[in-house]
Amino acid sequence: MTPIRQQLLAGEQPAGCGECAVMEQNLKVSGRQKQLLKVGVRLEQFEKTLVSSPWRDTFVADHFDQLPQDWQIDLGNYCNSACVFCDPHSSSRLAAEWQRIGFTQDLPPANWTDDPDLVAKFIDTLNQSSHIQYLHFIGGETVITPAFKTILRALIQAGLNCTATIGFTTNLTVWDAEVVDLLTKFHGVNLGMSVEAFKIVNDYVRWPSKLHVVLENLDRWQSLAHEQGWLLQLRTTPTLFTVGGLLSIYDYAWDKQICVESCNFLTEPAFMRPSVLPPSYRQPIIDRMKAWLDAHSVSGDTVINIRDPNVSQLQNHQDLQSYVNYLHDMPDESNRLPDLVDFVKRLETSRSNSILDYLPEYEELFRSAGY
Amino acid sequence: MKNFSDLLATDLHLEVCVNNTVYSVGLSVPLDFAATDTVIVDGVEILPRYQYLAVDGRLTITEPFYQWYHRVSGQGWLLKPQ
Repeated sequence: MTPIRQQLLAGEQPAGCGECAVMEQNLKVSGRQKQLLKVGVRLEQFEKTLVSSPWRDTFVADHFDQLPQDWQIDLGNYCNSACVFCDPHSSSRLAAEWQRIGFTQDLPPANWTDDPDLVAKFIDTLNQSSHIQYLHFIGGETVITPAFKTILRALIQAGLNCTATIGFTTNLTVWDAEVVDLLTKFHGVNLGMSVEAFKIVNDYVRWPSKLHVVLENLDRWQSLAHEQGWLLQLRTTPTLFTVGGLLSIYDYAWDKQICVESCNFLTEPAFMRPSVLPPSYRQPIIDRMKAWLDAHSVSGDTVINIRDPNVSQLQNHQDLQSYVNYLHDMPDESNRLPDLVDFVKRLETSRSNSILDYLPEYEELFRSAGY
Repeated sequence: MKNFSDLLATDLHLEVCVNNTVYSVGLSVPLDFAATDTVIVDGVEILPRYQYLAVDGRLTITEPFYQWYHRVSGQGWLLKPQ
């Protein structure tokens, strides 16, 4: 951590902080804002809230031996989806495909969760953490990752389910009754549901999912969540393929009063960023988004706690505004279009599909870049 | 840029405006207002916005102001050392 601290003290921005910086520049609530909030620190009153934090003494302590209360657990890349923007470290299916078509030579290392001894050791550590507030699992597709069930069962056996909240995101292609049963035994569940657009292009981007299956599972998870009092979110990763259909997500979220969240503005793969769209393609999207914002008027303080369902509409309004800001202000990166076209052409030979069947309105754009 | 030690050594205060009179108050000093007061702390409206939290005509804040504000303004979990 020392080099990072030195960079910060010198007023420099460490490379790993770039995504949050772009988010804040476009008035999107960043990861650092969300995490700082858990210890009571807010950027607009940084010094005063930091000094007022319950953690102020530990910030300067030489030694701190408490186990985490808030965990982020990466279960590995076990996944049945192969989303076009994903990478082999997060999808085993994509890893196998990329190796087959020559995008990569080597598969990622084996998942630690495939080793029963490591899983048992991890569970021992959790069992020593008597003050767990939240465990957020990432993958891969968590629901079908065997270690997810193993860990949930162990937490229940240790009685930690009475106070802990479980968080995870599903790709809405699978349902597992046993996982559902285990989850209902926890104090709370924060459920993220991944979808890019309620349009057919979702099938291309979140390949090989099918929109009708996604919608069925969305309904099932929602019914369960309402019954159990779980917190729901729609999780998106907007790319140049889906940013034009993003309003379908916000329409749905507005009606259902569900928060929409993205981890960032996509940085990698760079050729899939929404900013690769040339300005002439961005402007109609901006106009539609502005019209939506005008038609769904709501105002209030900036929402940092995106897990407050009482302010989901305000949060979504502010979040959509961040895409207007981004599309308006980010430099034109359409020079990356040939890289995009090269990538999708090779991928489509494996998948026997064509982006033009999903986004015919972009045919001229993609043809101009060599499609 | 300040580091943590510099920051903790800095004398920081709340700017508390009660019925248009401004006071400078320590960050952890308990605050007590009449429920009918108009109160703004560091630019944030406290009364009448949180009048419903008053008891027997008084709004009393015994914990550090920003921890109290985190709670009442719906900022979610506030983790604490155990």
